[in-house]
Amino acid sequence: MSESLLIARNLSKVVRTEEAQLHILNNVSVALARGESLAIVGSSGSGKSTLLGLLAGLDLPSHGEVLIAGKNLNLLNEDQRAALRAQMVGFVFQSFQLLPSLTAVENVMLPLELAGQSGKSARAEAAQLLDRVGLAARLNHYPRQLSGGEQQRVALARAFASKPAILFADEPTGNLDTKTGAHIIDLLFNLNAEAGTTLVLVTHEQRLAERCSQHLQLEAGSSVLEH
Amino acid sequence: MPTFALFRLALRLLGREIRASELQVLLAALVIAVMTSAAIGYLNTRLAAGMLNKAAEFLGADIVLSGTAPASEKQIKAGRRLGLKHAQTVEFASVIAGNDGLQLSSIKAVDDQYPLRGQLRSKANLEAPDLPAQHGPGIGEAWAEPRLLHALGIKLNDSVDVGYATVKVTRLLTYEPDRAGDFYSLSPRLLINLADLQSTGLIQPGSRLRYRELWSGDAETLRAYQREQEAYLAPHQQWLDTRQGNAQVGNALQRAERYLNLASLAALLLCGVAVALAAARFALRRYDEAALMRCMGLSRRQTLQLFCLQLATLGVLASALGALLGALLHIGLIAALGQLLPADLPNVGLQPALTAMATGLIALAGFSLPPLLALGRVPPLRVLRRDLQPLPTSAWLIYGSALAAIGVLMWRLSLDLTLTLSLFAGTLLLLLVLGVLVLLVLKRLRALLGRINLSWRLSLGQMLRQPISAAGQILAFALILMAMGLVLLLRNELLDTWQAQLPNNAPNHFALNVLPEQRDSFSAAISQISHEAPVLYPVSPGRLVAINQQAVNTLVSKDEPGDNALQRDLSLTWAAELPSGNRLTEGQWWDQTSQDDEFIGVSVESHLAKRLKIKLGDQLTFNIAGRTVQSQVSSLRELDWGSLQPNFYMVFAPGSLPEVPFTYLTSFHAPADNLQALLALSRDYPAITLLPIDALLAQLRSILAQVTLAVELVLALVLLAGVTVLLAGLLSTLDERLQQGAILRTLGASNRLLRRARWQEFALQGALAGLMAALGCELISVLLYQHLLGLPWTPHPELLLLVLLGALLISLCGSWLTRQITQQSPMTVLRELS
Repeated sequence: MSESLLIARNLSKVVRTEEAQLHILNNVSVALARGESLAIVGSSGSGKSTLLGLLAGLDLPSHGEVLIAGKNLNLLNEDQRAALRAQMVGFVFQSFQLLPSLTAVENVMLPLELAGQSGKSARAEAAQLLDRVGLAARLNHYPRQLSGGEQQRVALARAFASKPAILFADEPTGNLDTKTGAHIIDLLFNLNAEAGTTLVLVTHEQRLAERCSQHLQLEAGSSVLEH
Repeated sequence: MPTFALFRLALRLLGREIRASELQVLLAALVIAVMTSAAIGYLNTRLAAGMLNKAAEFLGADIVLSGTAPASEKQIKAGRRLGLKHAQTVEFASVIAGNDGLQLSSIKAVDDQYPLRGQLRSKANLEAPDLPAQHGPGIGEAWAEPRLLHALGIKLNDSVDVGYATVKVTRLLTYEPDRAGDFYSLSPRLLINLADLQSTGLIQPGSRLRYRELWSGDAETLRAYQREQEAYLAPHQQWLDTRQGNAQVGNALQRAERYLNLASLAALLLCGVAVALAAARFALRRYDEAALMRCMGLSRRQTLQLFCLQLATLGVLASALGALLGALLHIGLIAALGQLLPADLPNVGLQPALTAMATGLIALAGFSLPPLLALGRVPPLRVLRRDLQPLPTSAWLIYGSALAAIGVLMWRLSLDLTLTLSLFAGTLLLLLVLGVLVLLVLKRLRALLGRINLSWRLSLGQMLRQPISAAGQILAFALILMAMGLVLLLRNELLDTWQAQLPNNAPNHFALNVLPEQRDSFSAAISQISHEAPVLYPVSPGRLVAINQQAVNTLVSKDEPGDNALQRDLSLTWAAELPSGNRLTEGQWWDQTSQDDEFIGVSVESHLAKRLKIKLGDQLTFNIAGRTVQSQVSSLRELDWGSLQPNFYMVFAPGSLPEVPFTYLTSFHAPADNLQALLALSRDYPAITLLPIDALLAQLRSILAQVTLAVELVLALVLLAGVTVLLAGLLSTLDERLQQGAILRTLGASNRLLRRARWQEFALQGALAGLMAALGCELISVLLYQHLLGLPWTPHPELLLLVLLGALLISLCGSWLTRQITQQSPMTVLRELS
């Protein structure tokens, strides 16, 4: 497992409420090598999103540790984790999370510009990516002028723009109809294969989970099935 | 991420989102704050300068260096070197010889530059028109008051002797701008040329002369000159400026200035509240954006910078726009009010605009930073879990930074640290008290919740769901209403005070030298003209020679500045009743005092008593018409030198003085259309001097008209700011209300029910806010009246109208803003909000 890009060991998340301690996640471990893909499945409230947040360094576990490219996230502060995300991590969300005030191409340019790339080359690269997801004609449309499927395609282009080593996708088809969802998934796996990205996918669709090389089934915060 | 890229992104986001309602409110609030501040700044500076110009007429100059000896060559050269205009006058009393006799008169020698401000007016003869003059009499000539001609039994173009010099009286002097403060002095005026002064031979060591160096120029240079000369001032010299020039004008100006500053502070505070509300909404709506940025790898600092840069850019743009609008507004106003304002309003440059911009940015920083800080703390995990909120900004930081901003603004405007701090602490305390009160009221309301009908449950439920935030909103509304109420209250109070100072029937004539035997008939004649029986005061000239057997000239050096009272005869009077407008500060009036047989009781004006260190029971020795009179101080009195009534330093008990010659003095109001009656009066009583002071009154009225105008304009701006803030406050809860309304409509609530619930909620909020505002207003007014404006305080039950006004205003604005709830389909509302 030494070549693993993403390692999680014995992750637990406990939240203190007024009455008692709530165990959201119990002793979950994950190991993913470069180019592998993991599907986290489970019903609503089973702790899928919590696990994704911990793996991506958006939150810290109560117990256990996460290593991305050998770096222990527990030892990094919030800003250092942010820097690591900027370098290595991309995201796709259920609710797309496009900035409503930016056009499609500007949304895709955003991670490139944040990484310091010049406006001109960022625009060219973003246009190319949008072309790749079939939106060459919609470059200057605002999110509200795009359909849900189109918005998610923009989000995919944005996620791959920074050439992340790991892509986290949180229910990427959750807000889409079956047909459009299938389309997006094809696109996601194609792009992933082209770029050799490691993929962590949260979903409750079995069909989608089956396309991943690893599966993790969560129930009440514990992994019940792994294969 | 490079700063440049961050800045570019900030600009792009701002450019795209400028239409968002919270940014528009923020923009509007800042534009209004800066516009109000700039317009008031410009008006204030220009009107004050203009009013000072007008007030300067009462001095005949912008500033005067007064002394009992001439100013040194060095002092005069220094002023001339700075480019200031200079004129010189010398005043003294001397007996003038004419054909028929002698008359003690007040002589004033003036150079050709005199006066520097205002104009002399004179007539070629009694029937000729009254004309302004460029300068005073030429060499060898003199201008005399008409009563002097009468007293000396001479005609125009006759000669009179002033000391060793002989001058020809060529014109009748009708108006001297700088005589205002001294308009009922006893001796008639003779104006001569300064070049003739030496030849009179009256300037001897020991002569009592008053030298006045008149200076005018721009305010900055004048101040520089005053500062520079401060160190070289001789003990006998003192500065007079427009504020000391005339009691009425000085007070009016000072009060107006303070009022205008206070009003602009109110406008700023209102806009500050709007900025805070809009910035909170700005921050709230960008939590997702901030989380996404963090997710993409921006550090906390960079995320914060991204949003701060947006608001800062907006702030600079809004401030510039506001300053421009403010400058234009004041130009427009000045043009529209052309006739009311002096023609030569001085130009004041860019400074008020720049100050207003700085003010706007300070308000922006102080009120928007705390909610913005939350954006730096949005957890990146929010991209997965939208319910995650950033850690709340510390309440200390929120209030601290807003209060710091308010403090800086207050300090800049009133420049009075004690006042600023006490107002500051007072407001803080008040907010705390009112906040607790509102919470208590809300808690009481909660108990009612189960027993009321649905529409009330809906409206109350909205408020009680988050009592702290509801209390916050009510307090914010209360603050707005309070500011509006205070500004209105003070405006009425100021105008009333000025009105009372100069009522339409204010005396516009003084009558001097009424002989005792003419008293009754003259009084009857005046009653016919003015429809009011005049009060005639007996007057006898006398001099205070000793205090407790110590000669006055050993107690007070004659070089001591300011004590004109000791350098000339005082007008002494006696009265059984305390003259109207007088107020006893110490001792008792005659009827309650047991008279000491040995001494005659005298009541002394309190300021003079303070200067001469006279106390109750002191013995004062007077010389009245060659007789020595011993008296004992039985009371001290305060009087209003601004009133146009005869005022006296010394009042004796009636019948107590030995037989001394005396005449009567009075003031009365003659309606403007009664010229014929006045002419008849002066024909019937040729020895009585009638002094018209219409010109002085007109001057005063025109100054007060300007001040009033400025006050009204400022009031209008403050009210405008208030309404905007009200809208901003309501806007801050708009989304929530829209959402709730849409859900209720989906569930089948009728439009009528929703409308009623909304009206009730807003009216209740408004009424509560109005009640708090009335309480706050009253408490603050006590502080303001007594310490800032120097007005007596009385309760204002009319403030309770704020309850009604608050309910009406807020339910109107609120219903208008939330009309979407019942006008748009719930589907559209819900989709737009998601």
